[in-house]
Amino acid sequence: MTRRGFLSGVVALAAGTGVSALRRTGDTKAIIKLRISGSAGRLGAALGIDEMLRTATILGTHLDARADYGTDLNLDAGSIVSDGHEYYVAADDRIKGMALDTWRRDHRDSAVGAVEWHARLEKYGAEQLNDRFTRKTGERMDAAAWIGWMLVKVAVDAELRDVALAAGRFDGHKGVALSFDAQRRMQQPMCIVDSTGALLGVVG
Amino acid sequence: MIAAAGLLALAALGAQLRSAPPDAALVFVSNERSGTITVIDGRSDQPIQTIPVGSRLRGIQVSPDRRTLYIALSDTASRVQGSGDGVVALDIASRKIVARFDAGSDPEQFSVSPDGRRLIAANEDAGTASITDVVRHSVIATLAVGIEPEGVAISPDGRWAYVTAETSNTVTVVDSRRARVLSSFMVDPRPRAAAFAPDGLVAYVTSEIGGSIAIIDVPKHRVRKIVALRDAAKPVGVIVAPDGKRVYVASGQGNRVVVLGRGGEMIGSVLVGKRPWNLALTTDGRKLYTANGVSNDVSVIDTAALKVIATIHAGEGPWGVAVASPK
Repeated sequence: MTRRGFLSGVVALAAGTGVSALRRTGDTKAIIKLRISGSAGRLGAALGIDEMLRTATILGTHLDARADYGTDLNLDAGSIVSDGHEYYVAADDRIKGMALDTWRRDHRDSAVGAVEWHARLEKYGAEQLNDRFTRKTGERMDAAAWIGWMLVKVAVDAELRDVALAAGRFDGHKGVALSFDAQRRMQQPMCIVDSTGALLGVVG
Repeated sequence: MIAAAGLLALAALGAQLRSAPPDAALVFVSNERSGTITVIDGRSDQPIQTIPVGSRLRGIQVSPDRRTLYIALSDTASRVQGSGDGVVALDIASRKIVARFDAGSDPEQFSVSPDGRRLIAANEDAGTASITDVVRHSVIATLAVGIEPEGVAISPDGRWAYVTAETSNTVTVVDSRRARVLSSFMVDPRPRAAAFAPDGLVAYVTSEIGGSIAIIDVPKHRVRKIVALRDAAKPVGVIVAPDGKRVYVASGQGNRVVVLGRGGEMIGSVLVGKRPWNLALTTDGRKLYTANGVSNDVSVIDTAALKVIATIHAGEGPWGVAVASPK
């Protein structure tokens, strides 16, 4: 299925969920629009859309995940454009290098890299998220898929709360509140992996 | 065969309903990893029995008549509903399991209605809440709630159930008499547990990643106030004192019980064992028990002095705790 086709299916699902039957409570927005581009981690984004669609629906809000304008999510860059600024869920080389250096200070093993997510994570609801992703896609959730899922979750969560991304604190199933630093990069624990991609541990 | 088993279970349930409530306080702890129940004498605060149940034990509640202990079980191997998923009823007098109820897939937390007729359970992996009629021995409704539902609390009048959901950061309001969803509202990230005040006018919802407690205006089903907790608290379990004047919060990774006033004002905190998940109070509110998931023990707090007066060894991974007090 193409990405466009999948998103169409998701939006069609929204139309059939009976939003009008629910009484809105709180000051939630009437509609949230996302414009999604790129293809990296699209299955993760699809899970995010599915889950945030359900969230928006029970809150009496409509989510349009294939809008021509709205909050921009760039799957390939791992970023969200909001208020004219680009916020990155994806870690850059500097953050990854710092995580690896931190790990190597205490461990003499075969660590070769740092990634944002790993399919073997279990704590803080990570196991449940990995399971939901695998049930939906038949695949294991890798870093790109988590970034895709998190982009949707962060964008919708910020809209529902009506908070700026710069000021928001988000849950990404990593056991701590995740927020964006002054460079608009998400501060987050990083997974340390060896040359085979096996998880060695978590830093941060 | 299945029908016969059902009749047997119903007969057993009838038998346990005739049993006498305990004449002394008993404290029951569900041990998630060892699959056991630790029974504690509430007078001496000494462990007196370990009951093997098997599977993964989490939610634990005493029936309003104090005759029955309900325990939520989940399959350890599967993330879809399996034979290990359900809620079992343990007759407190005989300490025997006398019935088993379907409560949807992967039941985690649940609550018992004030009339003792219904259980409402959060089905974490299915994103639903199940309402089980314990008299008819069947699930009478499965309701779509938020993503990754966790906590369940029923109002003192039995009218409302609040179901928290960790991924969607929502609380879904269930009209428990009509067995349908009324509405939902947002709280801070990763809501875990909910508890109603005895008067039913306010409720409290913990948010683990938000590090906060939401005080809910129950008649309006809206957040009245968010109280941020100190000491890097990751609030999990919550319980309200019988007089409604205090709210006790298990801080999880903070290793403390935080004590708040009715309006969220800080009263104090008590250092307990490692990773307190859930809490239970005696009927008179004088003693508070915490299930400490990492240190494998239970802390007993004198609520007047706000001091730990005993630490009781439990099984592996204490998750929940319930008190069956004499009236």
